[in-house]
Amino acid sequence: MYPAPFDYHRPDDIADALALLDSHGDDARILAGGFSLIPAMKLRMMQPAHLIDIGGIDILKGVRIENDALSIGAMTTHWEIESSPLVAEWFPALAQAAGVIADAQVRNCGTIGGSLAYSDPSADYPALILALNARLVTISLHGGNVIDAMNWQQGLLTTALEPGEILIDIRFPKPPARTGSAYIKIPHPASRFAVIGVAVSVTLGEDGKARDLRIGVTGTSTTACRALAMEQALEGHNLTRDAVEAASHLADEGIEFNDDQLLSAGDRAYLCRTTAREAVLAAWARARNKASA
Amino acid sequence: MIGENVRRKEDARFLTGRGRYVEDIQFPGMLYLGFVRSPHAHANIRQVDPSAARAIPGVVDVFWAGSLPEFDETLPAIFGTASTGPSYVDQLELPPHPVFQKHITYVGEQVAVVVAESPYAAADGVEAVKVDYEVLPALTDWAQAMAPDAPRIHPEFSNRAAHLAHSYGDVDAAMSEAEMVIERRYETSSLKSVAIEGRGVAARWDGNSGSMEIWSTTQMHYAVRDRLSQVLKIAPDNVRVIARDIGGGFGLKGAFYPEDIVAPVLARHLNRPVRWTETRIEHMLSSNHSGRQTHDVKVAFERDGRIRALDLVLYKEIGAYCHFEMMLASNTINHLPTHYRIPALRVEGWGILTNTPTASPYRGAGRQEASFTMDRILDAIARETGLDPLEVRRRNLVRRADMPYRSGLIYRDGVPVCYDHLDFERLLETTVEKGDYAGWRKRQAEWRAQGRRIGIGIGSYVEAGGIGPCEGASVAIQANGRIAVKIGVNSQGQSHETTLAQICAKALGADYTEIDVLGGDTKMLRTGFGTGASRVAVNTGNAVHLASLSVRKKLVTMAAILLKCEEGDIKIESGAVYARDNPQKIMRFGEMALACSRHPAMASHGGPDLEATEFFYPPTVVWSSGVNLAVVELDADSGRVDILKYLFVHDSGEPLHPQVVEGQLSGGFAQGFGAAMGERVAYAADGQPLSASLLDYYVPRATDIPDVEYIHFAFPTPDNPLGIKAVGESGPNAPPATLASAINDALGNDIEITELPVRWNHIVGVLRNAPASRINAGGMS
Ligand SMILES: Cc1cc2nc3c(=O)[nH]c(=O)nc-3n(C[C@H](O)[C@H](O)[C@H](O)COP(=O)(O)OP(=O)(O)OC[C@H]3O[C@@H](n4cnc5c(N)ncnc54)[C@H](O)[C@@H]3O)c2cc1C
Repeated sequence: MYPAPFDYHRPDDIADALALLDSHGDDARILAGGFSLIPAMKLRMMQPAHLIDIGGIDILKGVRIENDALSIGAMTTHWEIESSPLVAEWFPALAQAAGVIADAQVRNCGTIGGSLAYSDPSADYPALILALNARLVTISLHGGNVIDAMNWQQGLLTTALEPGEILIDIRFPKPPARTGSAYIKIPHPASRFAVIGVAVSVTLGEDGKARDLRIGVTGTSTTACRALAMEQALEGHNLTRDAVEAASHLADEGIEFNDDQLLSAGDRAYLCRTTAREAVLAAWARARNKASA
Repeated sequence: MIGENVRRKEDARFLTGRGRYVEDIQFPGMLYLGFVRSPHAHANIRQVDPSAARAIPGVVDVFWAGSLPEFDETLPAIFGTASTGPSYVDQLELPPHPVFQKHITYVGEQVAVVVAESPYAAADGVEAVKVDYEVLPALTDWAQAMAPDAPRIHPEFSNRAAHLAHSYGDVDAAMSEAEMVIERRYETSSLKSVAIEGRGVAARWDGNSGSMEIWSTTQMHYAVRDRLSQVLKIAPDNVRVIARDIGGGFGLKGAFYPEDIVAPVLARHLNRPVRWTETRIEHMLSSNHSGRQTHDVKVAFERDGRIRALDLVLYKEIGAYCHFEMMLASNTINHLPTHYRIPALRVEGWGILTNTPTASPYRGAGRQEASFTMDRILDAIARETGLDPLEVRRRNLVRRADMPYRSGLIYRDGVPVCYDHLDFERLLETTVEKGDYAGWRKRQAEWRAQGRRIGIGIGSYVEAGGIGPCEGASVAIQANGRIAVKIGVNSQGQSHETTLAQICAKALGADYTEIDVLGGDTKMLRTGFGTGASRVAVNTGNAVHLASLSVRKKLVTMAAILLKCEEGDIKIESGAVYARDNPQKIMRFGEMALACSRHPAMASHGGPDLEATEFFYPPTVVWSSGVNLAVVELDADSGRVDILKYLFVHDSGEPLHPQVVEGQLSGGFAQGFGAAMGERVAYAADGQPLSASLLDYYVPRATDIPDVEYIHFAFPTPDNPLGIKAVGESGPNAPPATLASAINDALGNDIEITELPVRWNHIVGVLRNAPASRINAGGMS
């Protein structure tokens, strides 16, 4: 499979990348790991005349603490996230999610920024940014934006990213003490993307009750979303198995699910409920472990 | 030597990445082909406009229907493996299949070809060709295509392209007398083989000698040679087809495709070498698939579980063209009883045209469907009678004492099916014992009380391998001592270079390391029939054996002359001949060859070479068999199927190389596992493929494959000199039946699985409606 002709640029710094993006406009595409873009180009579903490879811009890479947040550069690979001790300590759910993306080749090249910019409806990270309350930082020649995770995905394969903008950084606020997180994914048998992926973050309050419970669900239809009804039912409660089991019947409330030959919408709603139940319990167990540590 | 796990000869080049595949072929001045393919399942081409494509730098030219007279030539209607005797078919009207045409009958069909200086330019050109289509209604389902008022896929031909019928015993009487009669519909989906290497062809015309050299991924290089010699109107000896290293065949490459003609025709027309290699999307869209098959059965049986009669109507979607008569349906019918007694049988089969690519054999070819249908029937009888599925199997088994057992079926070669030198009882009882069937049944009940869903399934297969007409081998000792074994078949990964060398080493008394097995090239031997249908070990293996014995005979005669002793005193060992009583009198094979080449005594031994060519003609097919047992557990939250145990018990005759045998079985198991767990070629009603990429089409990965325990039997057979049976296609046959049975057993009686693959939504559907509490409360029946 052979892509249409294109010019290739590899700027060393953000300013050059933005200038190239600005001058080529709609004809240009950012190239990150290339694991979504290149396959689409080989199928000729995308035919950008210019590729701007941002792999040479060091500042976009790596996991670091900045103020009260963990900042993950857009060009950080899935493998770097999966293996980062900082990520493992602050957000085990994120490490889990990065570790179940595709295979080693994809994880060694694919990036968190590329995944979030591409915004595949079955990608894993979109559930994580919701559960972990992330903010996405973009930059353009005219300034920049900080976008709340809730506003990032706007529809099928569309995000809040404006033309001329580059996603540079994903910021995850430092979790309060005694916070646990978990991610559970039910992979599609063929693609291994998420049929359902549920990310959960929860804090064990002083009173032993759940605080700041956030449940992000991906794979449902066009964009990831929060299981708000289940969150509300459990907020401020002790997360016993029975309580979570009962509340999990709300996990699919208000969520629209795909319906196809593989699984009906009702089947997917069932998977959403069981997965949400297990993910909440896993996150809660981690929060309690932190408390007892 | 035979039966030892000697080091594989092909490993060095394959394991170090030095195999040479079609895409590795580079000729100076080579051009590349790209195909414009139809986005519509049924359409007439009004116009092709190549002007934009021709303007692209690097594009040499564009061709389509009518561009060259050779493009009106048709693909062979019956390719390679034509029936040699009477079959069950009583109607066969097959639309001719031209290379390029204006009437399009499936998505992905070739519309035009772009020739370019690089693969990139070819792809650019393909995109730039403009085609104006008149879109017609498409049919992708046999039931719609069979309807009396259905639009025709080919105007001159009925959609009901083929029909067959066969029966033995009094089915009607049994149906009315039997205590119980059930009806079921069993569906088996179409499958795509998805070999790592797709199809490909490179062609080079030599204007000086008027000859064509072709590198191809075909499994049938002689059939390709013969068809091309007709199309090109040159002598078959001037068409050389080389098909040496091939990254998997599985039957898909045993068919003949338009590209096989287009590439050589253009190489001659343009007088430049050309190459085409298939992309994965082309593989999914345009290459053949196995074709969906539906089985409507009516079974008569007694309350004790004994089958009285079976009535089967089979519907086969054969795609837009038919290249294999009713071979797949016939295979299903001939393998249908597997290990069981069906006293009366009536079958009727339809081959129905649909707007999809052609259906062609996929490793196992019809047997998987047979095992699935038979084992589902046995499980249904168990369900209806309340007997244990194992007991139903025991009561219907064809026993040792019944052999030779003639069911009443007639094989594709015209010979009545006869089971002999087989032991189904022993295979089944070994499976039950080693698989701890009783123990698992106990655990199943205990664990179910704890809310765990365990299921146990048993499946059986037979595999008729080694179909003729024949294969040959030429064995020659050369002056430098190396032995050439030339064969008329090629390998897609079956280890011929190793196993056939083992046969030669043993029969000839040669040193294994001195033997070169040379195949996959029409210049090696004049005639061959192809790799497929589990036929190479039986046919070529025995031919190598016979040819080696013939050479050995010459060796003995000549050694007696040269060493001046009696023939009876000649010993042959490790590539040397010597006189028994005088170890000083010794000659290495190379010395013998040299001495013989000028020796006048060779006049009465066929000429100067220590060489012999022999063909082995099997009297009919030889039967392998096996029983599988699976224990699965279902994850209540996701419907995931975990395999707790898988046991594969088989008889594949005398193993030439036990590791190769197990390799064939385990690869076959993975194939069958995929067929059970999700592989499915699907089309929307308008003919658009729903499984056009590996994002949608499930192929199991190494990490999906559970541990499989193999138990090997080798029941001796006098069917051929080496006593070998087939193994190539044995692996995939029983796993789908076995896994479906186990999954159904875990789900309980709320559902009856009647479809392959087992659908995830069916599993989840049961789990959704059966809350864990219900299982906790009372268990399930
Ligand atoms: C076989 C396979 C399996 C996969 N399985 C999974 C899976 O299970 N789960 C999953 O989540 N993903 C999966 N993926 C997708 C994978 O995670 C990709 O790496 C990811 O979607 C894209 O990241 P990338 O760095 O490769 O981006 P690219 O492909 O380089 O870019 C993707 C898109 O984002 C744009 N872009 C990239 N970076 C930026 C940026 N910083 N600012 C603005 N725009 C940008 C590009 O212009 C392009 O349009 C799979 C991919 C493959 C090939």
